[in-house]
Amino acid sequence: MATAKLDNITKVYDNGFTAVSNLSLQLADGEFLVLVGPSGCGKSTALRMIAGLEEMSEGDLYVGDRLLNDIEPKNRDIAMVFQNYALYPQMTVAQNIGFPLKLRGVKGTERKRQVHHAAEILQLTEQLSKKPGQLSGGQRQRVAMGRAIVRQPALFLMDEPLSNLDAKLRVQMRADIADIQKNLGVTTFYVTHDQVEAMTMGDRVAVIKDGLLQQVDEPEKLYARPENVFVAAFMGSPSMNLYEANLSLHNEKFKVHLGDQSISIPTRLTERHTTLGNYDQQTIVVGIRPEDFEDAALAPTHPDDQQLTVTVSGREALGAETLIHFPLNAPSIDTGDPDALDELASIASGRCTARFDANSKARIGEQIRTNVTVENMHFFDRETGLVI
Amino acid sequence: MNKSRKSLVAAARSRVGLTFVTPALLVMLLLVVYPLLYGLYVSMFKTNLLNRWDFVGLTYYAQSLSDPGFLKSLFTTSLYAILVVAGHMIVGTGLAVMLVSDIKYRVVFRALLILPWLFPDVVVALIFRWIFDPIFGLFNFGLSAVGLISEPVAWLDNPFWAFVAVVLATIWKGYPLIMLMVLAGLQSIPRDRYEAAALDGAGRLLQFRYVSLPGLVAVLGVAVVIDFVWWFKHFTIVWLLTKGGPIDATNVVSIDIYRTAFQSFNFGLASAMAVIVFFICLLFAIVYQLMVASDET
Amino acid sequence: MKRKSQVGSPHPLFYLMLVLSCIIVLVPVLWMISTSVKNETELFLSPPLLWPEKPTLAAFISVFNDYPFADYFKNSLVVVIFATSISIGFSTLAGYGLSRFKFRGRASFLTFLLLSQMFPSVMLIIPYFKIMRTAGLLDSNPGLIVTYISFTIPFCTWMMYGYFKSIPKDLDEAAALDGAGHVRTFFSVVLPLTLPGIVATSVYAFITAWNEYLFALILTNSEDQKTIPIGIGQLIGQYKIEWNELMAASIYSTIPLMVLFLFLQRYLISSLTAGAVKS
Ligand SMILES: Nc1ncnc2c1ncn2[C@@H]1O[C@H](COP(=O)(O)OP(=O)(O)OP(=O)(O)O)[C@@H](O)[C@H]1O
Ligand SMILES: [Mg+2]
Repeated sequence: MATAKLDNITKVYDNGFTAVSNLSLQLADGEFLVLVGPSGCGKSTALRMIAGLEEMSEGDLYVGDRLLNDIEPKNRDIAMVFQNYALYPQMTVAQNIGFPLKLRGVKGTERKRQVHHAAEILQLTEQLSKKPGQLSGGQRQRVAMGRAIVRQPALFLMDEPLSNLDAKLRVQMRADIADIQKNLGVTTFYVTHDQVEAMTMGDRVAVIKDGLLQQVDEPEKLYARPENVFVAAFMGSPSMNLYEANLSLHNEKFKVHLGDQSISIPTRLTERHTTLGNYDQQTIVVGIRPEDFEDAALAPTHPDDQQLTVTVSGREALGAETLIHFPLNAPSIDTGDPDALDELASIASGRCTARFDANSKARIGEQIRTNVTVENMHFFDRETGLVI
Repeated sequence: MNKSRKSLVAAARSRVGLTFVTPALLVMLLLVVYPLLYGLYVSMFKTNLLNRWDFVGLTYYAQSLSDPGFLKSLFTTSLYAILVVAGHMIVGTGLAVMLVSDIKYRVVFRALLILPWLFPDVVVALIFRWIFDPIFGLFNFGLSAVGLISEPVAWLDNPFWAFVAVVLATIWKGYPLIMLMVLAGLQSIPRDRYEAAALDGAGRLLQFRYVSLPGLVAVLGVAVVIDFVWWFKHFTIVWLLTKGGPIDATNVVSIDIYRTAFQSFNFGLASAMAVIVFFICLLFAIVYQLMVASDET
Repeated sequence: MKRKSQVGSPHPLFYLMLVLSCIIVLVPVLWMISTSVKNETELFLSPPLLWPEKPTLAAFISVFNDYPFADYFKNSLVVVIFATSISIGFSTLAGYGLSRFKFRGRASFLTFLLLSQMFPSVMLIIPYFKIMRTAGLLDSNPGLIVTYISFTIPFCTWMMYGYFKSIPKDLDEAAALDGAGHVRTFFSVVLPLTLPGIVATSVYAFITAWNEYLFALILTNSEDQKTIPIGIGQLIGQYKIEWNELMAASIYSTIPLMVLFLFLQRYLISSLTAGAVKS
């Protein structure tokens, strides 16, 4: 158990492709840090550099006080859970879990005791004499975990360990892994492309895109205070609605012109956007999360200059809530999140998504008014994509 | 500092890799590369490999390339290899296509049809020599039993028929490998592709044409080249069936070179001939490389 | 595994053609067997007897009495087993190295392995004859062993390289993180998984070496150093050919291959699939 520090780590592959650039991160002792980003953004590369499976082109890596740059993987005291588990097919579950101990010279009975202990934690006691081929996906996943936890390493690495499981099992294992990690207190670096996993499991979450770190923060802060358009769009499902809008400042009020409509925001409600005033008469990017819309019919006291008039074009009743889609006559933003492909269609048509209370009576084709919770609106620079 | 550190780690890994490869690499250098170069060297000397080494430069190359006998043996070899490969492809592919259909006793058929592959070349040559024996042989017996011939025919003493016999024996020996390769290729074509074709109204022939054949092209292409080179340099079956005769009708280059070296003891000339054959095979090797490369992309 | 094949029941002609093909395959084989159990008078009858009236195993015994067949057999076994084992050992190591590590010359080595399959063996005879004579290995088992290693290493390495490539590198990486060194990873983790590949490759090497004729012809001379193919081949040069003994000897020389194939065909056929088609 130890802290870990990534200092300006860069990976340039032989073909000249820069998969990770200048990644700096610090993990506190016992922390669960999740690295999240779309497919191909360099998450695995980063993880594999920490493991020593891939050379770092530049930068330094410390675990505890130890500089690991020149240390071979086998001497790094790091355990890793692979996406496809990488269990040894010819060995039984017990042998798989015991292999790291065997290599460390732990003798027969002691080894057996530790393997059994790990198996108990993971509820694998029944399976110990089976081969990996005879196990279900979830059990295999647990064996891979077992092999990692059995030797109490300084650092756990996990590369999308849940991505091969079905949805239900994934939710269950999510909780299990988080529990085990808390109980063992081993510093953990966890990679996923699933932002829900990131939000629910991580003490802190690091968002990465095209090899560049975008933001590191606690999940709630990441959600509430995204530092750029990409993080804003990537975290949360359905994604934040992002539109270009013109800003004007009148009498202590900002006016956000979304197409032919506008929303007024008292300046006191935008205190955290300190420089918003500099953007008077300019085009900026505004972001509104789906839950920051509400059917005006359900909350009639909302100020009417903080409302939009829209025509419902789609409706998905999810039980506890209802998703409403409507076109907004304003240019939408390409967030550079390739995972949002399915949402791209809606963006292209300028479609906006709102999350209404299940009691909403809004129906397709109807014209309704929708409230906007203006204090939760996000503002970004149109050129840099950074938060204002 | 970063740069040097990086190359250090990489160097350590590449040393480990080299260590694993070293034994095989040494064998290749000592037992393949060195002899090849040595053969090149010998081809430029008039030598008995013992005490006489007279440098003659490229004389032997000029000599063999202008020697009608050698050119004819190159031609004979090419014809032999082409016929053999064609035979292998036709028989091998045909049998594989039949074996892959839902026939009964598939396993029995396959086991029997693989048999020739398991006979050593020497044995194949001897069996056929015995079968083609003019007086006691099965072949003449069979032909006369059906009334096709009245007098025994000495097949292996007739230049034309000897060549035919050599080709047939080689086809018999070599088709199973092609059959197995094609069989493997066919079995790797997913069944739903056939089902889709069948639903589109394709009969068995059209299914073969539009589903099997495209799937096989890569396998067959590589097989043709490997097979051609293999039989182009073949020696044993031909040697034991006909010794290259009668009157050079089956005098393939391997036999020509063997004779030049170990019967006429003209090692230099034989080496020059071997180098020429090497370049012919190399040409095919390059074709093969190109095919493999295009196959991989 | 699911059967994959063309849709539709097989054409009746298929059976006819397959049966015909089997006959063409079997007639020479049966003729060989029938000849081997004939006695001398029945051997030289014209027209020949399809099957002897009094089958006898005499030829199978006299082969051993009249010729040094036991020596041939022993030489073949020694040469082939040593050559195969060494080849497999080296090529397994090399296949692992090539599939797992980057080093300078790796690509050229792979290409060279492939190209060396194209070299005509005749090109090597003269150098080998000279080298073996210089090294004093002419007319000896070690000389042939060395020769057959050089034959088999390229394609064995190539095949083993293919097998190792098909085993996920993740396993090596997992082993490294578990604390295993390269040697340990090779022996405990990866090697056990390539066993089928090693078996198949060994059989190919065995068959190649067992059948080899040309080099043995040139590199051996005395009766007690010759291998089976040479021994059988020279029976034919004699004034009067004892075909029954020749066929008996042929059967002897084929039996080891048949046995190997019978027991290991599962591996062989799947290895052909692996080599011939990419998944
Ligand atoms: N050996 C390599 N050589 C060159 N480029 C590579 C290599 N390995 C990966 N890449 C590239 O580096 C980028 C990052 O790859 P990486 O595997 O780290 O992505 P990832 O974030 O883990 O994606 P995923 O979520 O799909 O696993 C990709 O664009 C990939 O194409
Ligand atoms: Mg990945």
